Amino acid sequence: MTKKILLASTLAAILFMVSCKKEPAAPINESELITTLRLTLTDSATPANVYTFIFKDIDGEGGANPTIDSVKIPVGKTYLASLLILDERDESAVDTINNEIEEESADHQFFYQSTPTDVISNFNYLSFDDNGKPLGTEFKLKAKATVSNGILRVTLRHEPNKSAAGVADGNITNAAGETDIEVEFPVRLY
Amino acid sequence: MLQKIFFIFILSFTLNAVSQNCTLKISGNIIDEHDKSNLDYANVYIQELEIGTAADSNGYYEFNNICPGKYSFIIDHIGCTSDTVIVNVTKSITKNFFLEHHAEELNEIITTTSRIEKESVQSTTTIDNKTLTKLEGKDLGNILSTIAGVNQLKTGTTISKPIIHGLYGDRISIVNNDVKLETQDWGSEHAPEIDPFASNQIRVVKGVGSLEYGTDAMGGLVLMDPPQLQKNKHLSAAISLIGQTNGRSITSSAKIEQGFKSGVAYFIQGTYKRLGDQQTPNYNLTNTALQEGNFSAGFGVLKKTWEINTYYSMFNQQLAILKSSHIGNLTDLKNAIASDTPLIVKPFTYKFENPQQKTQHHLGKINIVHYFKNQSKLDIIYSLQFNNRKEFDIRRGGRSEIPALDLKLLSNNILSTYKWFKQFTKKEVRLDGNAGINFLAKHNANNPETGIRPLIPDYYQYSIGVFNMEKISVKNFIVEVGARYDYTRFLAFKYDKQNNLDKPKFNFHTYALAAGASWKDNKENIQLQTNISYSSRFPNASELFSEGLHHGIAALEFGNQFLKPEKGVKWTSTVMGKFRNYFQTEATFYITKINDYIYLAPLPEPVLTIRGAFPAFQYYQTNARLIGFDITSKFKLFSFFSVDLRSSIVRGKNLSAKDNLIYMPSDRISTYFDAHYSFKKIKNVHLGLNVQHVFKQKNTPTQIIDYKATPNAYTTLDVDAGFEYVANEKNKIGFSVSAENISNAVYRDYLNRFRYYADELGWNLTFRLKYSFL
Repeated sequence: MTKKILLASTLAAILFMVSCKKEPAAPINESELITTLRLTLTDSATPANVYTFIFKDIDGEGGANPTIDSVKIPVGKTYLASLLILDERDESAVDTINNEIEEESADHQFFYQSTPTDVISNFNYLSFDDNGKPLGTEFKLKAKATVSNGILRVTLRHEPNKSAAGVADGNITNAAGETDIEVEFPVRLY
Repeated sequence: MLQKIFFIFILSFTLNAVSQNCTLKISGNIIDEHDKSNLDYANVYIQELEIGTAADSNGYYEFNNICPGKYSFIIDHIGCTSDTVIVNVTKSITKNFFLEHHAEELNEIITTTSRIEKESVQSTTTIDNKTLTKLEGKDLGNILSTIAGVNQLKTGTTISKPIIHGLYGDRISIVNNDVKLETQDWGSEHAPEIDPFASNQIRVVKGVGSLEYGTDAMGGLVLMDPPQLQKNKHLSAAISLIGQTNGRSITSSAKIEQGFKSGVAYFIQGTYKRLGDQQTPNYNLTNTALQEGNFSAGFGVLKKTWEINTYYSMFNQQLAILKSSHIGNLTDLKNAIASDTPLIVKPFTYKFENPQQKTQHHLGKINIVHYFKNQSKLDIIYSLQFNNRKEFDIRRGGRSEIPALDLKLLSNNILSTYKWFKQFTKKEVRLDGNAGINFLAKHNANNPETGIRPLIPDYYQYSIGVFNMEKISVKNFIVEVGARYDYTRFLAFKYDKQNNLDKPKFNFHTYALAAGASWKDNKENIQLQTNISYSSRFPNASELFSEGLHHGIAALEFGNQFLKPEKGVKWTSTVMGKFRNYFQTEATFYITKINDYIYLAPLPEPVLTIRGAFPAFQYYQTNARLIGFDITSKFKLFSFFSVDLRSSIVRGKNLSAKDNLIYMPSDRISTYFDAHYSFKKIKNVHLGLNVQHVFKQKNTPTQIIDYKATPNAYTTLDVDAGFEYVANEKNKIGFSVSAENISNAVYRDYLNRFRYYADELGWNLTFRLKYSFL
């Protein structure tokens, strides 16, 4: 009796296990991946002089290391800058993340920092959200008058506190929120 | 002198009893219904009075100083189905109870309320119904941490995982009504999905325990016992209402139980809980709300030779996660840490915002029991579990409504056991056996709509396990040995970053061996237990495949497909001693050595991403050793006043890296002063003060960077007071108030992963009202 019951339950269990279909689910495509940050600098005095620098991490977090261009620009000039954020993982369907950022402009803000602070200075916002607060996809900057090296850091904060002290002036200290992008470009002024 | 004082107090207590006319004596014998022999060492328990006694070797029992009334007597005995008999007591009487003798496993006989401890070779601590009532409204982790040697690993204020003897997660098995809970316990921020209200008692086995549930419970077992279906049990019900000031929470729970003469029995239980943002002494913890709706029910037919039990439980929880803990990268983390207060503090609300989790757990069970003529027992349990975990993040482009993680885990389990015993002609020798076979089929599936690469891949897992345990009892001496073997086939479907499908397959062989002995002296003043066990656990899906960013701690985590099962040897020794009614103590010493212990170790280089650089961790294996000691003592200074002392120490070492293990509980000591007294109608009047001191954890790993210094030592003070109004033998109302952290101490705990962001809770008042109908 006992043996029969044990045998029956064993068979039932094995049958159950074997009968299961083992099919993988469809792959999940990352919908919020940012692979590329493209920084375009236009010489404000001579608009024909356009310089483009790219930070690219095509496979997202982990995997292969990102490639980073060095920002090499002539000294002493004022530049109009613009940022293009892309998902280029699928070359046939490049996604422009700028659209999403601009749609939710009140929840996003870019910040720029230079080390040493005088290598690049006079950052000014040129694009704003629906409330007239800075967004920063377009901005202005000034390169130091002498040949020098440094680092330019571009940060994108999601849901920052835009009314905190100094945030509207581009000071990141009190911005809080969550960092979506934090990229450091080596800078060489020549 | 001291004895005199004792004498006076005992005398005054007795006099008091006399004045209440509670002088009745109930005595008699426990008798086997079939052969009319006396059953030795049976337990008799009066449900309404919550008192119990054990019959002597001749089956004789006795209760003294009983007030007149109608009482439910619960009688149980090794190898018998427990029985409930209602007796109307008006004068001192002799009452014999008859029991049907069946073979049942020693540890399995549980009465509906605080049962009398059964003999076991394992160090087992029971949280009985009375204690659970005192803790109603708290989550499982909180309840379990009242036991010395059990701690909690917390993520914020509402997520808590039990740690037993320094081990947590998959190294602990949680068993609900004989079914091992199959949840997604691999994440530190995943609390077990179970409602403590659904249990009548909770037992913690600080060892491998029963081998029925697997080979992997290196840390220990948490056994949750729902109300037991009983034949001929009169209708009883209980309703609880609990309110808390911190978080302005309301919890209500109701339970109804009944058993008929025909053998049909049922219970139904439900809980609802709502909690808003909680507060530390200085600020609100924004986005820490919680909502829970749980339900469980059991139905069974209990006959002389067979039983069919069915059980269903549902757990439904939504919980918000502290807004300030959601960070994008290392810079955010450093900013959050540098700030003394969370970066986002808003006024109180019950509302949920992202990040948040929604979890559901369903458990259905059918249990068929057959008793044979030779008093052996066949027990077949089929269970089906469905666990769904959804986690919501702060996302861009209106995607916040879509879960960032949506995992569905379906588990099928068949556990068949055959239990027998043999009583040798020499009455003191008894042999107990338990053999079984266990099948498990699991399927884990990701919802493809999340739009985020899954943290763990889809997988199938099939396991078959066989086990056997034998126990021999000779007089006061018990020896138990057992073995289990499990074969597991694990099939995963993993997509790489280019969406190429990889199908890694694994075959794991895991074993468990256990041996233990226990001895006690004739007067049961001293009891010694010692156990040695070998257990093994194969790596889980997260350890094998995890790949991604952990937002709360700003770290990248990588699995390792080359991991082997980890193998542990744990040796536990327990000494229990008592001196009359005045003093009682239990001390446990243990040493656990785990080979190929799976842990996260930092990679030498941080990983650069578009969000900045992240520290990266990968699962590696090492040899680890944990040594610890827990002690619980009770001093009953007077009949109305007692002092409890609890303390625990554990040290964890990573032997290969010559470093400390991370997240080891720090040393702690707590003292509970309890004054209690019972009047005729107003019973269990009590006033208690609990002082807990937690030392600073100084033994932290040096090779893993901690962004914030280990929190300092802290002391918390809790007060509780309450009483029960017994209107008549059928109706009882209990009321209690407890105040936690009354000094409003500001502190952080090493084992709370959100110690980077916020302080622990400030003071809190809890009001509990419970109406019981017996």
